[in-house]
Amino acid sequence: MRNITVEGRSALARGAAILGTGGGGDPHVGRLLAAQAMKSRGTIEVTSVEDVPDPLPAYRSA
Amino acid sequence: MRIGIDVGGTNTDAVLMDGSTVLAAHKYATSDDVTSGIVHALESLQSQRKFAPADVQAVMIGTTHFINALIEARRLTPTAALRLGLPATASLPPMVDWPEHLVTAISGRAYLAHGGHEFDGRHIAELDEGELRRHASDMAHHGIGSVAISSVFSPVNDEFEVRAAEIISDELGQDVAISLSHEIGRMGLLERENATIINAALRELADHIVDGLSASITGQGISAPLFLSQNDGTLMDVDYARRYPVVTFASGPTNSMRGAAVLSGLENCAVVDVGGTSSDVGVLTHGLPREATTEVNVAGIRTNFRMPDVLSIGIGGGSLVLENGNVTVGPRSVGYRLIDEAMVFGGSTLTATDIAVAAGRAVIGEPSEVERLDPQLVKGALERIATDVADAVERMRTSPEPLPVVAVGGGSILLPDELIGIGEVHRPENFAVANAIGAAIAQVGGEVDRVYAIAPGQRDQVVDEARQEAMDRAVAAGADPTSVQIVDFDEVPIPYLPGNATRVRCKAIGDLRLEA
Repeated sequence: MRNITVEGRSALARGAAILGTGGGGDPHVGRLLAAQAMKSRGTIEVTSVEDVPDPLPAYRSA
Repeated sequence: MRIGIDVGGTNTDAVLMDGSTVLAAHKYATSDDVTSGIVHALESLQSQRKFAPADVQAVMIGTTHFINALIEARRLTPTAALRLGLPATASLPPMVDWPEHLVTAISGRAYLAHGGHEFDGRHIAELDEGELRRHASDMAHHGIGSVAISSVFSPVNDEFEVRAAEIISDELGQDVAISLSHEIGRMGLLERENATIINAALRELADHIVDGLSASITGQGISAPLFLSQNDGTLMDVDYARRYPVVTFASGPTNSMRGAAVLSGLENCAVVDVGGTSSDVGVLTHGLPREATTEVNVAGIRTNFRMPDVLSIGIGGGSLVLENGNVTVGPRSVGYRLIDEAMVFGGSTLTATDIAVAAGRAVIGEPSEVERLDPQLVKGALERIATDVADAVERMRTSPEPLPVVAVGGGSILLPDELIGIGEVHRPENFAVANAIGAAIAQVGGEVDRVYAIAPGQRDQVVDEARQEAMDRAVAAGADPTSVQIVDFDEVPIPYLPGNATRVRCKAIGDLRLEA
């Protein structure tokens, strides 16, 4: 298990841009949105898909 | 005769010119207050070449006061950012991406209100006058001195920004300056809004600076009109400068490049301006600086107003030269303290200027102070400088065509006569004051940037109209009608707008009309 904090937002955006292989354009606005969400809701916990309990819906991106 | 003055962070340069002939030139450390540096420059020109103040036809000043105020976060007005876009855009309020210390420096307050347009001109929501008046009274309560208004898609339709400005002015009175985003930035809400907020925060300083500059000119008995240099190298009158201080931000590099073009006679070239702390590399095409096509980052804030494409590297005359294994030059610099700290001036810090003197490229201060420097160190530092500058020029180059290099600025003595892989370095006469010359020879521009609905078969007529309007605007701004020509024309169809809408951008430039 890992956490993504506000400090990691730029790395997160860059990673998203690479996974998106250019689709969706500059991740600048996405980075700002993520940073805003993290400021109000705290850090993001990264969980592997297998660890998500069954009844919860899981979304995949990229 | 005309006088060009460039007030940089380190030096103030001034020239007295008759046509394209430089009659007198002056270079001196920039003073902390606005007026004394200008007065000193004018007196110095006067002592080199006597002139009657009445013979001066125009004074052009390029200044870094405004961009430096932002970078240093000093003397900024408490500013409100009002955005019209609710219920959209609330997830990213104004100044969301600003460095914290700058928000504090402008006592920035963000307000969201209903309004804004969709990309095709439909309203997102109607303006709510009561809401705007409530925001205005909160602004008054918090001592706001300047307001930036940005409405979603205001470049498509400015009606909400204009109406909101009337309402806010009505509540806050005429003393509170208002900046509207459609007059300052381009498409792209956050970047346009940022540029507008910066402009708003500089409005009080702009009044102060313009008053100071005007007073120092008239104090010398000069009654000629005063102009300020803009980002694109054209001139604006002082009333315009009071309202749009943000368009002076890149006038320093632009003036250097324009000066370099005139001095070298080259229309297409790279210009390397080596100052005290950094070197700016730009590219001239047809004598005008190439513009940046992407967002421009200013003091950590993303903006999108028109700026020349400039690459800055941390090498200048005051750069520290260090040796630990290999030789490094910059980015740390003694800056304006060069005349105290450099070895040739009796100091104890090894700077790039000391290296240039030791290599015999220039005679500055006391050359004997650097006679005993290790020749290997001198050679290593010169190679470092040449390689870094050559890399920067290479990065700015967009075609395999040979690109002549023109070196200007006081620090250009650091550069070799030839850059590896690039070619000869041109060093025109008066290279040290190229920026002041660029200010003095600046022209006057007029621009049209508007969405036209073009009926079938009417394109040529619309194009002619736009060209004529741009030329008329240049003449209205003070250009000599016989010299005005179109330098830039661009039309972009906007397929999602009804009625064959086309965005037409057209720019005309002409020589300043001088009263004899």
